[in-house]
Amino acid sequence: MSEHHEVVDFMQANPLGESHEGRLLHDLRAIGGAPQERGMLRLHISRLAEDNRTVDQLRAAETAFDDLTRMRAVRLYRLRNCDLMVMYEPSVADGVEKSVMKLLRLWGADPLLVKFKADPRKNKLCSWIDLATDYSKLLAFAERQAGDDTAAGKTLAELVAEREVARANMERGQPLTALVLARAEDALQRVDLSSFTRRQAVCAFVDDGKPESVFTEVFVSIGDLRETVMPGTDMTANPWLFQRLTQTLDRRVMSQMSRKEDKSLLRDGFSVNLNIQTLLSEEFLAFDDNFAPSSGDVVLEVRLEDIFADLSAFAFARDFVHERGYRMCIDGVTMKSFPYADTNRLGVAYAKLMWSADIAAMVTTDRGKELKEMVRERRRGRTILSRCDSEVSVRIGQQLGITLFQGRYIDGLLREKY
Amino acid sequence: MNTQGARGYQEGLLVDTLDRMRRNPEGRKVVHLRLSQLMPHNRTPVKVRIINRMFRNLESGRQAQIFLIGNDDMVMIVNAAAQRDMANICERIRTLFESDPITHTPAGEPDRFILWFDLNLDAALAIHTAQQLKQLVQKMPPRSETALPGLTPASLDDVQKKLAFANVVPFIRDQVAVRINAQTNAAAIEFYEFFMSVMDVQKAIAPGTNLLGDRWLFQELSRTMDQRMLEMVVRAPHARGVPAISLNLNLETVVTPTFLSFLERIEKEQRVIVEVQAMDVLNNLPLYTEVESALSQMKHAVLIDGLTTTALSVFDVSRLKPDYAKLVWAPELLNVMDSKGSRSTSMIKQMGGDKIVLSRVDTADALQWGLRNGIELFQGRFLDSFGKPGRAKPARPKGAA
Repeated sequence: MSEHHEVVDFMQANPLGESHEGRLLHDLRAIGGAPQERGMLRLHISRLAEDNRTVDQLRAAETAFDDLTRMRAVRLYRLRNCDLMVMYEPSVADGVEKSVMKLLRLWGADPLLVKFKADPRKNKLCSWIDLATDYSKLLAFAERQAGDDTAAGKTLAELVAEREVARANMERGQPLTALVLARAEDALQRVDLSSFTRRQAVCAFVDDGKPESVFTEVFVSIGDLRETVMPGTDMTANPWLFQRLTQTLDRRVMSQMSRKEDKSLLRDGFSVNLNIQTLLSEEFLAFDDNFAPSSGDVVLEVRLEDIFADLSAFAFARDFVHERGYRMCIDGVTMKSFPYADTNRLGVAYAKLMWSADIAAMVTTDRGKELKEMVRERRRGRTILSRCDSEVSVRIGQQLGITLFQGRYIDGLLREKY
Repeated sequence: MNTQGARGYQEGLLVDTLDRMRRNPEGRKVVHLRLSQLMPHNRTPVKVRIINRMFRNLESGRQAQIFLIGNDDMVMIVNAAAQRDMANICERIRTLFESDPITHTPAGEPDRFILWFDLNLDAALAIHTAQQLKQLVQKMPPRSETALPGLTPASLDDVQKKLAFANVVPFIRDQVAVRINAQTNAAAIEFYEFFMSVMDVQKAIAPGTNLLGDRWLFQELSRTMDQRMLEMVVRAPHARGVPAISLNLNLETVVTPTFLSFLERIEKEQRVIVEVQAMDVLNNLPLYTEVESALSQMKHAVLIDGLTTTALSVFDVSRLKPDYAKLVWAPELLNVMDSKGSRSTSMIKQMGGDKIVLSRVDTADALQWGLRNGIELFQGRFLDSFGKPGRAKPARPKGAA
């Protein structure tokens, strides 16, 4: 696991409260009556060189305040980017400065601090915030961090500028255009997809805490394929052309699976990502000849935006594939789109929620409670937490009442098991 | 399933089989599934094949004999033991096409979509029907495939390039949306929706291609159309002097410099309503939240477009907190509203009738349904005349000729 992953894991595994950003917002609101009675400091740890942001150093930043946190004169809030917010009572301002001095010494060699390491009030690591004047600004910041929709957002001009900068950023590669797509679809006809095909199990944890595979997703690694078929193309830049590309891929994947007649897949249960339009095509009928489920589960994964692109086509396709014995899963659901991916109302068996650090950040907030409630209400269609790369994601998923998991962390557990 | 043979062969086989069985019916029944009566968009070859396939298990279990009729109808001869299963499948098919008028049977009238015959009692009628089908199919002209090819990535590129330089002003249409007070019947213009006629674009730029043939490629084309629309709509004479302009746009289009300069060029006090599709919103919710908030800072608005009864049954649009939501009128809304606490009723309550635009209002019935259910905004052919006279001119003083 890379350094970065370790830091992220540390941040998730060692929360002071479950959700720091949510708690920061909560506490700021709580002191709203008299904000001048608190002091606030932001430590811009994210500005330090990467090798100065090891897990040990992050821990050291927090222990530097131990004396003060123990007596509840200081509260710490870790932001998603590793920065540390410190709220303190004015009576301990000296103590806070002393702690900051310790950190300036710890990171004295970092380029950020070379010129300023003697003064706790004047250096590039610290921003001392005067809550008497800047309270509302900080509150707005905390609202944004906590993903609070009620907060005032950016202006349109700011949004446009952001996009323009992102577009100009050549690192992302050239955008997917109709012409690039035409070439890619042509190339796809000649590529053997089997080397890009991956498998990943969706698991439940049985009583002894061991993962048990429920079904295995068979998918094409788009990232790898891109490098071969259209290197240097930023496919995320154009969602509609990307959807069209996946539709073309669908046909290839189905015909490849049919050719191989991989009956072991059928025995253990598998899932495959398809577009709704594909389910209503001759190619799918041919696939159905080979794979109509008899004993094992065959799950068809479709994307939420594809469902909403034509709800009546979706309803038709769903009823048809149910009739043929398949189950359906809504794929690619984010924390934000989860409320709209209602398995009960859409009449499907599963919804796949993608793990992200945002979920950890809100698990104890009101939105977390709402999420948990939705997972509970939708028992008829179960929620799968996908992209679980760490134990933390599984633990937080379980707190939310989720019982099915997928991701690299699960892959590792399965390898240990066998 | 019997599919082979010359024209009329299947139907002739059906007649012969029925004739043979009438002497020994053994509780068999005959089902005539009249797929030919479905609306054309419900009768695409692949949908018909899917329906055919739904009976496959019954056929392979030798519980039913299936005849595929040349006009897309199906006739099944069903053993006594399988009639319940057959009925279940037929009802599922009815549900698949529930928006199609043929699947609805008015009270007291016989079903027009699924016809059952009892071979013990109705053999003569069944044979008569089969003979009629045979004659019908023999008279049918050969199928001609005249459908235009859909967009391909390569032809899309071509159309995009042409569209970039075309004069699109003649393709721009508009339709008024009217706010009506149910008590006083007073009506006022809420906004004019401006849109580009896809058929006009197709005729002028790509006459040999069906631009709507591939959903995702058309969606991509609509991004180019958005850009041209924003450049040109301010030049359209009918866009002057209207209080508010609504435009169908991709969310992504709102965060482009073209949209910013469009805002700079509209008249002062003109309000802009951005109409977006639920699909687009769900594809990028963070962007929707940002766009919605940025537009409201400027007193402009967001409208979620194209909601159908199905859409209301699967998601709660008020959760998106749009300024408006557009509900597409369909006769089945009449039925939906009869059941208390239906999704449409609760949608109107949650959103507020003052924020809902009932669109495709072509008849007085539709308007009345909307008013009865608390909806205040209307759009459609029935209202169009309201938008035309004296527009862009100051109101005529009372009493003037």
